[in-house]
Amino acid sequence: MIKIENVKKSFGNREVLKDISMEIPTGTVTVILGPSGSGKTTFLRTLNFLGKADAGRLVLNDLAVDLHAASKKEIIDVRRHTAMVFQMYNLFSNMTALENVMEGLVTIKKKKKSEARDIARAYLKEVGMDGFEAYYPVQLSGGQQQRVGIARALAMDPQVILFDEPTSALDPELVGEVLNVIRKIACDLKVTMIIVTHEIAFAREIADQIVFMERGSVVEQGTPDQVLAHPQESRTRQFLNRYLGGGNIRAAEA
Amino acid sequence: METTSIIDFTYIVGSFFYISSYVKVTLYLTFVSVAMGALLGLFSCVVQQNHVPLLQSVARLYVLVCRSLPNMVLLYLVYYGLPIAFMAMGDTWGIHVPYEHVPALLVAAVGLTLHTGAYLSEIFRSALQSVPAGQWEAARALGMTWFQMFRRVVLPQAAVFALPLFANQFLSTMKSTSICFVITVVEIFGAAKLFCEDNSQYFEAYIVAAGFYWGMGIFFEFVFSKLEYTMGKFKRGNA
Repeated sequence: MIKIENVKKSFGNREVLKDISMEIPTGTVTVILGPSGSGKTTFLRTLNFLGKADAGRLVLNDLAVDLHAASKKEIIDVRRHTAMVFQMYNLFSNMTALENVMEGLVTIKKKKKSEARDIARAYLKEVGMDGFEAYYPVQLSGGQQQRVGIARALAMDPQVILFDEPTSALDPELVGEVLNVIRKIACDLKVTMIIVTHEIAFAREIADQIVFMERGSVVEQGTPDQVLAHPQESRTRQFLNRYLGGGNIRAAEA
Repeated sequence: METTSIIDFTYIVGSFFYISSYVKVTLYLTFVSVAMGALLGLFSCVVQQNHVPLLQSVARLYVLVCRSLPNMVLLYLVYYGLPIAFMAMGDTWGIHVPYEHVPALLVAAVGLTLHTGAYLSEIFRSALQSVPAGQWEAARALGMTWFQMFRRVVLPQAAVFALPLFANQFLSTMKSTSICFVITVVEIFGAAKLFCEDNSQYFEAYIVAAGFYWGMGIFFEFVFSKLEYTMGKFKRGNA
């Protein structure tokens, strides 16, 4: 179980996260939706300390840390038990696809190179990137790079994977391959995931829990059926209308 | 009336042999100053990048001062200043350094190192800044320590950016060794000058000296371009 409690953050006078809390049962997928600028990405980044919260607490199974006052050691500890998939992929450009996946295994987990190589190969296969082991990021399409990014995250065997708009930078025809991979690992591997995305149809299909955020607050949260099909809040309805072009979720899927 | 050729080949050969025994001094000064300067420059740029209190100000001041001084002035300052500094060390802390006998070669190496380090500090700074923030973030998210991020991810990428500029500085330092003759270090240029004074054949001696610099310059340029090709492999891709 992952618990996130009372996360707050301001940039200057502007409050971007106003007391956000949520619980994420192990093996479930939580999707965070919301308009641009609602603080979704900022929130996600406070969880692994890429951004620092002004207040808040994170309980990662048996590891509890203060999101504002964590020590250096605690920060590294949290990062080693979480993984992140970035909007811009951020593969290490000086390493091949295989080396990217091996890197954390060798440098952080101190595995032998041969063992790390076997694990990395298996995860590249899992994301359908077998055969591309020796390619450098510069030689791969955005969708391929993102799949390697997902393999890199999976290889660390994290307690949760944080997805920061994993398909937002992709050409439309490449979005599908990445979503398929995420769908597959959610079903097969039962990895706990928090996904920030704008893909509403995908969210409905994959999420166990949907959190709708606006202006730094959680407006509504519940199952996809509750939040997307029967939203209680007018702000949620407005957002969904805007995104689905006035239709409803069923129309969007059809 | 006897015809005289413009260039006298016996002096070319003579100065070649005379000067060639001082090539090692030029090479020694170049390698030592660039190597020590690289360490100094890396240190200076990293403490600035990481905003280490006090050290970052010292580093900034160092770069500011040493970049705006002519190399030769810096060399003289070290030449006359180093013994005074050693003397003061003896007086203040009782550490006795034989300041009466500081070898000129050491002074030259220190002077060139200070100069080269200041330039390399700026080259390394721009190289570090060329690595996108996302690379640091991905490394951070994995749970790497600063040193692991630097060693595994940032340095290999920054090095490729820095290499052509580093090669420039290397050649520049190599040529700067010629001013060390003003503090009595005999290297290629100094040897040529001494040869002239003994034989009064100026042009021949300097042609030979130029030839040595030229040969070394071309050689190192070749080495650096090979290195750049190898280290930049990830930018072109393989397979």
